[in-house]
Amino acid sequence: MTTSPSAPASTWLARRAAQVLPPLATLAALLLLWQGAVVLFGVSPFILPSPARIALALWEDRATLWISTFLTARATLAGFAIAAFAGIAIGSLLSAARWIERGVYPLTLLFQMVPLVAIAPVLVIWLGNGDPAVIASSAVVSIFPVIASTLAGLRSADPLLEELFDLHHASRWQRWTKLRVPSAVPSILTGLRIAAGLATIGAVVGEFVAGFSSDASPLGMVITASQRAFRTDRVFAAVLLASLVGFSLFAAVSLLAAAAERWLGAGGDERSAK
Amino acid sequence: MLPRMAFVVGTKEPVASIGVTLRGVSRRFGSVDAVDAVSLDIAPGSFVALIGPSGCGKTTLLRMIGGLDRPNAGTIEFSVASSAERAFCFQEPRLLPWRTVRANVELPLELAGVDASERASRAREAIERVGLGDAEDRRPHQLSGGMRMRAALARALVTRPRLLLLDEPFSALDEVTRQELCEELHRLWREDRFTAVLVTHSIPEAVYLADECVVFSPRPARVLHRESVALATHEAEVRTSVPFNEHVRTLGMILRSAMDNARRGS
Repeated sequence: MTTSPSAPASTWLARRAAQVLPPLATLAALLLLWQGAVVLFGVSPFILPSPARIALALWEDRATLWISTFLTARATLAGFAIAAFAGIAIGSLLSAARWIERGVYPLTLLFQMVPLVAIAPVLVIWLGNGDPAVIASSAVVSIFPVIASTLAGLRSADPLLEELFDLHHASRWQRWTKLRVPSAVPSILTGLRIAAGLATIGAVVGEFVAGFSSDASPLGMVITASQRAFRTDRVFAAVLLASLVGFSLFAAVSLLAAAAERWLGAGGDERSAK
Repeated sequence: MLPRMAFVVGTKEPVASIGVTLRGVSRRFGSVDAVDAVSLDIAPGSFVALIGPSGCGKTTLLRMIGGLDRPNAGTIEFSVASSAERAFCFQEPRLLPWRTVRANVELPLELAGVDASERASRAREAIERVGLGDAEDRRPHQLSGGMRMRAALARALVTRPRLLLLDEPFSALDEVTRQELCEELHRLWREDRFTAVLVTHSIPEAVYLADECVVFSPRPARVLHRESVALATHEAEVRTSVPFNEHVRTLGMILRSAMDNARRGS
């Protein structure tokens, strides 16, 4: 299960290394294979640039790419924040009444199947080019997992604990704040982790259709512009940076989740911790 | 058989314990009869054990006494009307995993709107009484099974109940811990003289704790036999004494023959 805090640091390090090294080695091997194949078969850099070429593109354009990454990260963060707050609020409101919940919960599951990125062009019609449309795209794409996980979490309280609250004639509000909300935290955090990845996708797709350049352009625009300029290496460089934005947000939410799970008490199952 | 009254007579009690009278109580789930016309008097301040084979409906009976379920027929009357003076100890500790022992014990008072300073002092008192004083800041996952059950017991006692309902509270514990907790529960009962109703499938546990054992038939639960137990002492060694083992043997035989009859009948 979890590493015990009394374990010596060297074994902890060894265990961490055993976790991190295999995927890193796999990645290095893949890059090597990629580089080798491109060189060996003389693939045109327009079709598939080598990793070295992509790295070069990253380095040469570092000044503008840095600003692009910042712009995309900012929009992603804004979209994610809106999705998180509004999603939790909407989920909570929907579960306030049994009949609303019963009517809406199946629909939220259904809505997750809708390819919401397809809505991005409509957002441009409503909000015009620029940040508002990009942020809206990011928020719209990432909000449904948050709503669904909030709804699911709020109904996930242990029925045995629910009965304990029955026994003590708990009011609706007491049951809500002292049982259902704490029980919902793990589920909500899972929803937020999914939303972190989706917020990045939503922002980049938003930038494809709604990005506008005044002095610097966000990553989504860098991708479309580089594609038009036959700069496949820069497309890959921008994709890499966009992935980095998504990964950072995901990692931050995961850290938050780990802290919350510690607060909730090791997964919450009483009987497993004998 | 006559209801026993002996306990109330002669003891000076600051608050009266709650007596319970069941008359023709039945409960069916769909087409399954769980409890069939049970009549039972539980005297105030007594400790009654309900024994029977697993799944015979004794837990259902306890839940109806606790107000967690309603009978389809019959009545359950209490000598004191307030439901706030009943406490329930479940088979599982049912602690909130994100709360410390202290916060878990405070929960019933919190739900009843008791103010924070009184909550704290009453919780501390209950925690001390079950011997968890050193662990009050720990979370359930940091406790052993026995300690979790002690916490659950403290949570039941913190409301100062006059009727304590116990549903196989020690069945998941190892034998030594189980005996230890039985001894403590009996001490707490001697100190407070609440009425206690214990559901168990352990005959020695019933004989040790209760002053009256009620044996139920296999489902649907019917009262087969009532046996008064008056042990001279409740030291741990009493379990090896002759009278203790006489009771265990008698009750065991009654239970076994009831189960044999049921098997032959079906």
